[in-house]
Amino acid sequence: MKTRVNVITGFLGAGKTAYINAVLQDEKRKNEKIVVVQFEEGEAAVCPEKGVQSVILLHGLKENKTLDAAFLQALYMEHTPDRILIELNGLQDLEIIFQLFEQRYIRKNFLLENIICLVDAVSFMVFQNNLGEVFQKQLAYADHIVLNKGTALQTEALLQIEKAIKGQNKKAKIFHVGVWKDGFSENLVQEFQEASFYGRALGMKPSTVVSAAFLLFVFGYLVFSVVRGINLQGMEIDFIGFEAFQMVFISILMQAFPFMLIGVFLSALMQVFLSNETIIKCFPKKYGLGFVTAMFGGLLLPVCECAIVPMVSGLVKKGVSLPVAITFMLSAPIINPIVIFSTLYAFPGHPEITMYRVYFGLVIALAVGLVLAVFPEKNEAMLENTVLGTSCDCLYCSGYGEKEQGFCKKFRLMCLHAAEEFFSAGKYLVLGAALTSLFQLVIPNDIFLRLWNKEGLSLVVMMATAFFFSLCSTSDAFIARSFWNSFSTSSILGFLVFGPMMDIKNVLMLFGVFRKEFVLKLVVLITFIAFIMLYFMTSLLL
Amino acid sequence: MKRMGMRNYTISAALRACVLLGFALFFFLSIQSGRALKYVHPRNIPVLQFAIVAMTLCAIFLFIEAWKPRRRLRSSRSLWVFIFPLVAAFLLPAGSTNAVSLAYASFNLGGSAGENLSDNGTPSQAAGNGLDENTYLEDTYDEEEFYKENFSDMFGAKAPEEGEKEADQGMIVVDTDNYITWMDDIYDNLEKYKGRRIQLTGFVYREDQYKESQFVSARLMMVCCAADLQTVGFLCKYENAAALENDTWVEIVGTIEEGEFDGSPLAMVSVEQITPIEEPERSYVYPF
Repeated sequence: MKTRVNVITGFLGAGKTAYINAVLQDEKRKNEKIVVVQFEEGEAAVCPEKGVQSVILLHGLKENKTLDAAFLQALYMEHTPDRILIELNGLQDLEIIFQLFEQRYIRKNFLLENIICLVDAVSFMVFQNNLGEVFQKQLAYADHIVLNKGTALQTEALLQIEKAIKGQNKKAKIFHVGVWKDGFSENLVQEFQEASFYGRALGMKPSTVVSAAFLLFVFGYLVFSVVRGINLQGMEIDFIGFEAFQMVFISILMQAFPFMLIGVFLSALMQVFLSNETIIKCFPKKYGLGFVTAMFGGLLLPVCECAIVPMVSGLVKKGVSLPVAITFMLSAPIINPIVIFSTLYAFPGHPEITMYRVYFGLVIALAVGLVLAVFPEKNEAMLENTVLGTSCDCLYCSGYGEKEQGFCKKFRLMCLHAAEEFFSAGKYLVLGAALTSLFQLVIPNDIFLRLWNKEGLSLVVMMATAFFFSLCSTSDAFIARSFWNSFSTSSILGFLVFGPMMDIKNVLMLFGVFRKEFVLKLVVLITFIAFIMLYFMTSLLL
Repeated sequence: MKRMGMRNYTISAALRACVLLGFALFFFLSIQSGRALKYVHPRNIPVLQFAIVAMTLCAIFLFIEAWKPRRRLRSSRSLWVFIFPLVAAFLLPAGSTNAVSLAYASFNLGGSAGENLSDNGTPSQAAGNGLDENTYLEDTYDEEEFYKENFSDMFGAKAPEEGEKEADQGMIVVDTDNYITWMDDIYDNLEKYKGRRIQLTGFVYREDQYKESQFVSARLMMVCCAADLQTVGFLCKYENAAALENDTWVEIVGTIEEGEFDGSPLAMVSVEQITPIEEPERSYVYPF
């Protein structure tokens, strides 16, 4: 049996030693051979008492040991313990632990069960403000966060602390403990083992996979038999709708996936190869310059709207200010050279359509950005709370971080990054494509055309069409062209300008990156500004 | 304990890699078999090839990753979303184009590639509007010239040469590459082409209001991907039109005449010779 390892971390006075004592006194661990290794000069002493026979105390700091493979190996040879409790100072970098437990030999004999972080609720805010990154990292890596000395605070303050912890680490279990000197409750100690991520993995994973495989088989078989049955009986009428749905659905994906991949690779490239400073330099902190880059950056980075959301999340993670990033998001798909070119081509002899498209695209993008700059978001807009602004929160970066050097390693990291983002943004793309294909089939094409009479209404109709049909900005000009007879130029512009900024699949993808409230706010804001601008400005211009 | 030996925790990475490989494989097979062209415009093929390479790369690194233990677990539940299109893509054949067109592609008769949807959705109106629109266009700019000067070379669409049109009064042979160019030109300049003989292929398409002797030799036009397929084509007059079954592919030789559709003049092909053919390999036409 492998030796289980529990890491207990926290700052001085958080109650680590008291916690260890409580664990040692637990009945269930009576028969275990436990080694406690302390890498901390605490006030309290570990005192094995009450019948727990085999506890070995090691003081890492006094004995001048470092926590490494050799140390653990020696420990294993000497004592062959059932469990090792490692008490760490909060300033210790936990990444060392992860790397240590990934080594082959260590993995064979040891099992890192969980990381327990003790937090002193009273001094939480002080630490939060003064230690910043170190403190946040500690919280982020913990499986199990014990909020100590909670009784000394008001409920409100406690809730606030809890919220802050959730912001750093959604998955960790949070426990409240009263005044620590009273000892830890039974309840807490019993939960000691529960947070073990191996335990959780066992509970869920194989069953998920089996059920997934089973369902997949059932679904596949069902589809197959339906296809066959219908072919045999020649009942094609019922089948046509489904076939058409499948055609549209797959074709949208085939069209959008490659472009999205370009987007995620560009984003990953940025994340891995460019330093934050370079990016910030390109998007200067000063709003004026930043906005200019954001507006015209799309000229150099020809990405369409399928690719833009991952790019923007990358930019924000790199520390570009939110208004600037949003401006970039809105303008890039319109100022993209391919888009300009295809618009020119779709409206031969009417370069003014293209000019207006670019003009309105830029103006609306800027206006939305300015509104966001003037009324800044109070809460963090990004979903994965990266307060640090510098670290990437994804699976592969945490643990190794930006320490990876050399082209090959960076390249590997880039691919993993891209894959990660492909899956997080892609699922919304798939949903969006499915919705769009449904809309295309269910809503007759001409229903919008019946509603177009009034100028204001026809603009709304065209914007709605653009939103629901989620066309790629590189090709929507050709579709717009087909509406040209029936609609005024200003509503065509509504289609051309609003479409690339907002559509079903983009909104869904935004939900994957930003908080719900922020996305909704953004959608309303963009729609409103676009409508006002197009409605009033086009009447002046045209 | 047995469970310790299991590396459950890395299954998610492996699954992801499989999904990526699945898509890459699907893209690869569809390009190989030409089925990709049923879904997207040919100009998307290089991008698809990039996607294949990119996905394979990601999958390889993810597989390597699957052998390492991970600190934080990922739920693989969201992968469902990806498995659905994969299954759909592999299990269902790309629909026959005609079925698809029946299901959702709106038909547009007359006018240029773009000018076809009318306010009430009937083709006649579209045709009328199309013609009006064109006079407007010609006032401002020579459309034909604009196309040729700027775009025809880049997109590889062969615009009929000006000289050829003037000098050669022989048969106009419309093929997949020049279909839209010819169609636009013939609808726009009916006077110029009246009496010319024309050869074209398409599938038989009808709408309720057509006369007994009328049908449309239609093609599906793709602008970008299958989501924007539209039915386009030439109105044809043929005595035995009733004998033609919808959606059968035919090659037609005929003469361009001025026909009439719901009260407005429209180019119409008076069919002289009609041969049933197999559906061509490239069944869509592209405006560029």
